[in-house]
Amino acid sequence: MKRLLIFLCLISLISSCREKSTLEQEVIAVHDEVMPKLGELNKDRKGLQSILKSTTDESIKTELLTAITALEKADDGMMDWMSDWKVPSEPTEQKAYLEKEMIRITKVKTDMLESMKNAKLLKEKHTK
Amino acid sequence: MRLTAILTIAILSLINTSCKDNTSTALPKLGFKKVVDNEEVDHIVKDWSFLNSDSIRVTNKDLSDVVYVSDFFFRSCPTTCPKVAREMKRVYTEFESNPQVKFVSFTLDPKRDSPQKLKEYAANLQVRTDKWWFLHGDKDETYDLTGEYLQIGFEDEDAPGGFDHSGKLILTDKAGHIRSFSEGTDPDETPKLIRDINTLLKEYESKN
Repeated sequence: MKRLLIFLCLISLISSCREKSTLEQEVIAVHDEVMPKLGELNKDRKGLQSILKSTTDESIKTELLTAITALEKADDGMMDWMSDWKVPSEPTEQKAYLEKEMIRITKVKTDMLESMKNAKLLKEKHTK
Repeated sequence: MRLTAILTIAILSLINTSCKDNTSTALPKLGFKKVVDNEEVDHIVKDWSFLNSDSIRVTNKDLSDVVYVSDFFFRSCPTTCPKVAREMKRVYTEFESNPQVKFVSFTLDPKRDSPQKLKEYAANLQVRTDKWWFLHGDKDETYDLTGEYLQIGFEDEDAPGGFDHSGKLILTDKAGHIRSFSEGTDPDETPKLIRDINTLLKEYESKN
């Protein structure tokens, strides 16, 4: 009976480690997918800033400023996420932490991709 | 007897060839060439000015007497940068006592990587900040500089650069020409970069 209990404890420990490791890889995979796009995001921002300088139309200015702010927020979101990323050493806290971080990094990804898509559309619209 | 003599000559010639320092092959000057006054000129990294980890302004001109290895990084980068820093440290250790070689790391996150934080980062890496500079400056200026240093290995100027190529260690000569690079995430490429630094140093020695 005692041996069975030790065996079950070991199995549970291994499975929780594996769960942490897989979840951690999944979170990092989302980061790795969008992180290389930060260079492109900053290029998009500079593109809009350059149009902003050359326009006098107030409604276009407002539209551009909103898009630039969205790009800056998305950039900051990624930088903040990386700065905060620290998997707790306590195994009981890891699963909840990683689940929370998966939601956070997915939001960062959406913010980045949407703001970049919008920036490209605006650039096309105002450089014609 | 004759066979032994032939074998000895063959082995000696092989040793001679493999030990010979290949200094005659100069490293190429990388980057996009420009046409100035109808003449093609090699790419030279543009002038820059940043704060070091002691908050003292330094420029590329301060590096005109040395060859240097540079990279782009930021402290909180969870995956690529630690690997790149490990390889940069490997090269640093190799040339630690050679005053002809310096190291320069530009932060891509100046908002979070203040000079003070960069100083702590250098202390954690156990490196001398007079030998390995950790530089802080305007974000846009730093991004622009990635384009100056990372225009290697691409066929055209519009190829995507920036973060996805920031794992490179880049060797720059005294005149600001990019002469070699390695993938900082691939430890197998580091020995070649070390060899290239030695080749470049010998190029200067032979000029003196």
